[in-house]
Amino acid sequence: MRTDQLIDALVADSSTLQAGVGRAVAAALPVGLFISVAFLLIGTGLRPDIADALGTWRFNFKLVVTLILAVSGAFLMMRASRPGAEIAAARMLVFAAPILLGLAVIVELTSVPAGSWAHYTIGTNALHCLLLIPTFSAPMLVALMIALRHGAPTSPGLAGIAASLMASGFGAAIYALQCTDDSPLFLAVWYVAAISILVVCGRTAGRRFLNW
Amino acid sequence: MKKRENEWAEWMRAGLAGDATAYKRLLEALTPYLRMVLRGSSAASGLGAADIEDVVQETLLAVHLKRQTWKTSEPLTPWLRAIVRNKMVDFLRKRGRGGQVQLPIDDMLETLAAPEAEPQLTPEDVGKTLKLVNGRQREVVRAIAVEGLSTAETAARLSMNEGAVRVALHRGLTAIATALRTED
Repeated sequence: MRTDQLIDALVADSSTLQAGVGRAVAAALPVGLFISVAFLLIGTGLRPDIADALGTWRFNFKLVVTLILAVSGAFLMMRASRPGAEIAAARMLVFAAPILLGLAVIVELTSVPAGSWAHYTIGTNALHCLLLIPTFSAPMLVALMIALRHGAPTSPGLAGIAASLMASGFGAAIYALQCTDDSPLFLAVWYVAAISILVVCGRTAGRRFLNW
Repeated sequence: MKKRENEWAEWMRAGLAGDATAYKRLLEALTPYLRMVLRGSSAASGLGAADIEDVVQETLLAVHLKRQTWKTSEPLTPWLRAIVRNKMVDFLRKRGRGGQVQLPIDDMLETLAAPEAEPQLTPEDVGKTLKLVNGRQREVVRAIAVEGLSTAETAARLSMNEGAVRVALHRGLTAIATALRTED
C-alpha cells in the first residue's frame, strides 16, 4: 500500500491506544509480588528468628541492598522502555547495589577472623539460595516482560536485563526473609550467582519478546 | 528548528487527545522528512527508493503503535530519532548489513531543503503490504487504506459493526508491523 494510504489507515485507528508502559508495570508489580510472597509463606515461611534478625545490621543490609537493586533496576527499565529517553544516569545507578555489597564485604572481612571467612561464605543454604531466588523472582520477571510489551525498548536486551534486576531484587529481598545466611560474604557469592542466572534469562527473554 | 519541533509535538499531543486532523497533519508532515533523513544516511547507500519507502512505512507504523511511549512533557524529536534509527537498523540487519547507523536527523529539523515526495512504486511494491494480513483484517485495511472508506462505511460494506471494524483495523496494522519486522 502507498504511504499516504497507510497514513489514512493509521489515522482511522485513532480509537485504540495501548496503555502506557508505566501503567502496565504498575499493574504487573503487585501481581508478581503477591505470587512470590505466597510462594514464601506457603513454601518455606519466614525464618523463625526474624524478630531478632531485624535488629542485626547484616540482616537489614540484605533487605536494603536487594531493594536498592530492585529500585535501580526499575528505574533503568522504565528508561530503557521508552525511545530516546536519557539512560546514562539510570545505567550508573544500577551499580549502587554492587558497590554497596562490595563495601559490606570489606567491612565483613575486617570484622570477622580470617579463619571463619570460608564458613560464612559457604553458609548453610547455598543450594536453597540458588534455587529459591530465581523461583521468587520468576513471577515478577514474567509479569514485567508482559508489561514491557507496551513499551518500545530500542535495546530489548538491556530492557530485559533491567527487568531481571528489578525482579531479582524483589525476589532476593523476599528470599532474605527466610534465609538465615546473613553474611555479606554469602551474598557476594550465592545471591550474586542466583541473580546472574536471572540476568541471563532476562537478557535472552528481552531479545526474544521485546522487539517491536 | 525549534518551530518544527514545537509544531510536531503540538500535533502529536492533540492526536493523542483524539484530534484526528492534527494527527494526520503530523504523519503527513513527518513522512517527507523521514524519506530525506533515511536517504541522507550513509547506511542507505545501495538501498532503492522502494527500500527507503519500506523503512518510512515501518517507522510510521511504529510511531503510531508506540505513540503512548512518548511523554507529552518531553520534546518529540529525540523520541522520533530513536524510532527511526531503530527501524533503519532493523531493516539493514534483515538485509544482513549490521553496524552503526548514523542518521542526519538533527538536520531534519534544521534543513530548508525540499523534503522528498513519495516515490513512484511498482504495483507489486504497493500490493505486498496488504498480503501480510489475512481474512477480515485484510478486507478492513484495504477498504480504509486503499479505498479510503470511513470505519462506518467499511462496517456497512462488510456487514460488521463499527467496533469490530476498529478492532480488525488495529489488529491488521499490528500484524503488518510484526510481519514487516520479521519478514525475510
